[in-house]
Amino acid sequence: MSALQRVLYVEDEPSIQAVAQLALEAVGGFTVKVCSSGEAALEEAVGFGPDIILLDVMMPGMDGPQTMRALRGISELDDIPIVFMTAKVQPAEIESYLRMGVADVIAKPFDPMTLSDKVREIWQRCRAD
Amino acid sequence: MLTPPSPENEIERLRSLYATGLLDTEPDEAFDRLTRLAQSIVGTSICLISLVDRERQWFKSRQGLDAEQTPREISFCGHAILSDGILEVPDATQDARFFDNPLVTGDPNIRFYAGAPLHGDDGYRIGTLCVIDDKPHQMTQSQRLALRDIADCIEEQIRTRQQKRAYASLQSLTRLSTEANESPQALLRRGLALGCGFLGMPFGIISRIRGNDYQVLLQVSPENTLEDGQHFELGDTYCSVTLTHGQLLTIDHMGQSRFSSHPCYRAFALESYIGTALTVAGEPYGTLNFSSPDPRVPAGFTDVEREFIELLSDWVNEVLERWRGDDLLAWQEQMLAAITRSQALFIREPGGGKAFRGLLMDILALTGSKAGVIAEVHSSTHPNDLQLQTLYACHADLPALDPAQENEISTALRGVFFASADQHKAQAFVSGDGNSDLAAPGVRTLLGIPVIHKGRLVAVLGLTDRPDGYDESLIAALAPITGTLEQLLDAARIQEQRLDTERRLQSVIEGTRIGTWEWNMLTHAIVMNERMLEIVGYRLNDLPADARAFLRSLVHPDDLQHCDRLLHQHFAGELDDYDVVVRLRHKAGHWVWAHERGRVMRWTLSGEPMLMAGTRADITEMKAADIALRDNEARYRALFELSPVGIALNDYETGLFIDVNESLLLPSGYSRDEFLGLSYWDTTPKEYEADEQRQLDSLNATGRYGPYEKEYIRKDGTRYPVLLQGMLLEDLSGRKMIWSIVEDITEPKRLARMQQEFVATVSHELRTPLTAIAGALGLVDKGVAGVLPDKAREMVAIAHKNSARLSHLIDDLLDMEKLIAGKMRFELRSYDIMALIREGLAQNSSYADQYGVQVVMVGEADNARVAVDAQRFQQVLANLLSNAIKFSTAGGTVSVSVSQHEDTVRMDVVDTGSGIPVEFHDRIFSKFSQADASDTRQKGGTGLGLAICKELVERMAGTIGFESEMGRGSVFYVEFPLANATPASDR
Repeated sequence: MSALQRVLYVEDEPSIQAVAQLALEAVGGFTVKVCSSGEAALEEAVGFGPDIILLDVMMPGMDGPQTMRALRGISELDDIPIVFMTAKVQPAEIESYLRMGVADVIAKPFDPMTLSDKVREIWQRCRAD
Repeated sequence: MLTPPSPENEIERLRSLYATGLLDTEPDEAFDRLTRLAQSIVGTSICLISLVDRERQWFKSRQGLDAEQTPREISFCGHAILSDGILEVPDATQDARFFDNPLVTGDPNIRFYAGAPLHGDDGYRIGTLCVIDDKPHQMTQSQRLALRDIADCIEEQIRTRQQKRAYASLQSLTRLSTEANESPQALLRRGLALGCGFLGMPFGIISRIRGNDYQVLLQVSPENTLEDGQHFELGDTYCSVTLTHGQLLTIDHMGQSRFSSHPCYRAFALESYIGTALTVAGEPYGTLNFSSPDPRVPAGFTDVEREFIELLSDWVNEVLERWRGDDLLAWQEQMLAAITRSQALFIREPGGGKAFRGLLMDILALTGSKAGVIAEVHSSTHPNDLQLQTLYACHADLPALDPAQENEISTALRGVFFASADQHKAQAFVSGDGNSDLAAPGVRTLLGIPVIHKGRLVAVLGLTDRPDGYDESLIAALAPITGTLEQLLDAARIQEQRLDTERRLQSVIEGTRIGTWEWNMLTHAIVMNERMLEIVGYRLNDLPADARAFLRSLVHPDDLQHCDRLLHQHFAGELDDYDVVVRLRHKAGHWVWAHERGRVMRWTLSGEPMLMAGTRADITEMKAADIALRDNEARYRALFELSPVGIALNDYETGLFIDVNESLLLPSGYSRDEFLGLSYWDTTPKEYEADEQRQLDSLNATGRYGPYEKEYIRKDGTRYPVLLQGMLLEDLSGRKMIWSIVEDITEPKRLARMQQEFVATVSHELRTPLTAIAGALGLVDKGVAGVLPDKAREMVAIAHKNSARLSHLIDDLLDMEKLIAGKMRFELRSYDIMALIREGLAQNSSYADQYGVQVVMVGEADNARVAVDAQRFQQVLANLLSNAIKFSTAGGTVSVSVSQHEDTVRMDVVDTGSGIPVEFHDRIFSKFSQADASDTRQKGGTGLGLAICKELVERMAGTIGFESEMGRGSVFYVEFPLANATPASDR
């Protein structure tokens, strides 16, 4: 079983992009591709070939769910786990996201030191399924 | 001297003599003329008509002799009547029978005697026509014939007289019977006198016989030896024999008769008696009888006498019958008079005591009863349990009835009427002597008449000791009077009830302290009760002569004109009553309010008011209360109108608006008049119907509804949100109304929305940079971004720690905002509480480590399940644990214990910290509360934690609480209902 290596991270807020990227790269040791919008992610994703995609929910332009639906439309990416990252962590919202087909929801603010572990855990769970 | 012997037929002879009725009568010229003739024919000095009585000879006519009578034993006539021929004695001195006769030897010195016997009607020799001379004489044959002829003439004369007498008696009788003007009593009395005269008997009686009672109805007697109305035992009178005899009874000589042992004879020594039974209207009535102490010997009663008595008795019967008729009429009149009298008395005297007493006395007089009672029948619950209470008891001759006798009568009446359970069928009861039905031995004769009112035995009239006894005809005759008694008793009861009502009314009047007055406008007299003046501080004694002027002077000058106007309007018929509220000057100087009411009770024939009556009530307090009420009302009205919140009053039944204030109108766009035409439902959108019904149910059940939110429809059709609450009330008439406070919450709602949006926005906008700051600092702090100098790392650690605190604060704020806005969703599921707690302890262990505090688990709940939202439960547990840890000293222990109860399971989080100050206990679960403001900074809390915990626990149907002691630590506990019945659905 190969290890998780490539993480596509979609987030419009540059400072959070920086923190998450550092956390994922430095703590998790992943290769991280950061996109600032859903549209950018659609352009980059196939080329990057991620093992997992982290999507911010609230973004200008395409938001998280719209982006996910678009990504799901790309055959090369249709089995890649997508994780939402959101400040809205009401159980009902989480459930609605899960029904959309996301692998999991990571609440913001996240702990940069444990973020990588969490992502890896989700990826492994998806692989096991 | 030879005493003349009595002839063999002496008795018949005497009867014949008596029948002539000549004895001891006045001289009669017709007889005298005949004796003079005989005297002259025979040529003697003396001529006599001598009637030979039992012991004497009495001269009906005498010529030449002064003596009226001489003893029979020395009489010549006693010899002369022994044979039919003329007894001739030519010279008495030469006759062996007479020579020594004192009439011969002395005055009138009889020598010659010739006596021709005189025959009575029936042939007996009753006396003689005799001629006497003091010289011897020898009659010629022609003289003898002449003497006999004259004697015959005398006999004829006697017969004629006798017939005339009988005829005269009959004539008198006939005359009497035609004298209609005289009263029956007077006629009968004259009849009796006639009988006495005719029979020559001193006692004449018409008796009334009832049973064993013999009453002297009318009598004629010497020097009134007898009295009308006298009573005897029948057995003590000869009439007892008369009645058994069945026809005319004559007793000539009682002492010699078979009745000589009769008690009457022993008592009164009456020797002769003639009597016959009287029959009135076909009924035995009594007797007509005559008696005398003298025997009728030897003559007895003649046929004429017998015939006369029979005629007389027929006449007496007739008169009695008429009398009885008159008597009945008179009796009826008396009875009617008694009825009228009792009714008049009853009307005159309240209660009717005199009327009843008078009526009873009249009944006694009418019936001839001696004693009587009117007794009321009281029945308790059981019809057989009857009580007889004497209302009136009277005795005819005594001022009052002897209580013993009254008791006897009552006992007898009880025995008669209460013996049967069917009292309403009670019949009048009559009893005579020796009636064994009577329970009271002292009552001889009794008449009991039931007084039945509306089918119920209400009273009993009891009469006793009527000499004639009682009979059915008397009961029938008394019917009008018993009817009157019934009416009077009924009226007395009604009157009693009315009096009772009046008394109660009076006591009510006294109780309500109402003054009453009566004003006679003709006499100007004013009558009033004490209270009338008491209201104004005066007493009746203070009232001056001109009461009206005085009363007017007390009226407030501003009210006087109004009063007068109302009074005149009432007099003119424009107002039914005089009804006014006035101020009156109290004796003490202050004003009192009085409510005066009055009405003209009587008018003069010309239509002028004559008598007015009314009341006065002190309404000062009421007036003060009224004024206070009005003030109050004005104040509330002002509040109502000025209230910034809408207020509405609706009719419960119709939903129509009765009153609304300005604040309600303003947002609606309606005018007041428009709004008051609307119903509750006109302003409420249809979709609220179900909600409305729920509120209505609440209103019916609790009297209140709300607060609840809905929308009102404006006049232009748009809607606005309102918050309503209200209550149900009832006015004095029982009309139900709903008071509602209707708050236009358009603005508060907008503000709340803005606030929520603001909080959400701010939280989000804060959180985004914070995520970056905290993340970055965390990475730097942990050396991920490279190694920093020690001093710099220390600063970064502080910054990192504070960014975490800020993040926590934002989380709490957002939670609180969600809770308040009701946006927090709970996913309640059944969990094993031990599993939840263990998980919580694990999650918080690093935090405990950080403070050097050990967290231990105490106790165990075996498979205790609770229905909670796991995430929220953990949030509560984390909060309680972090508090306990924070406030424990390093090296201390926080224990979490679980205990299971019957229906609940409880978790205690126990610390050994400093405890919570008492003054803080009340607000420990309030927002932003901390025991000491410095704690926030020292311990790093937001002050929202426990408030959020309380909200969360309660939303999950649990309770939260604490116990704390300063210096010894605190226990925070949560308790949840056991949810073991719910199927397990662990996550």
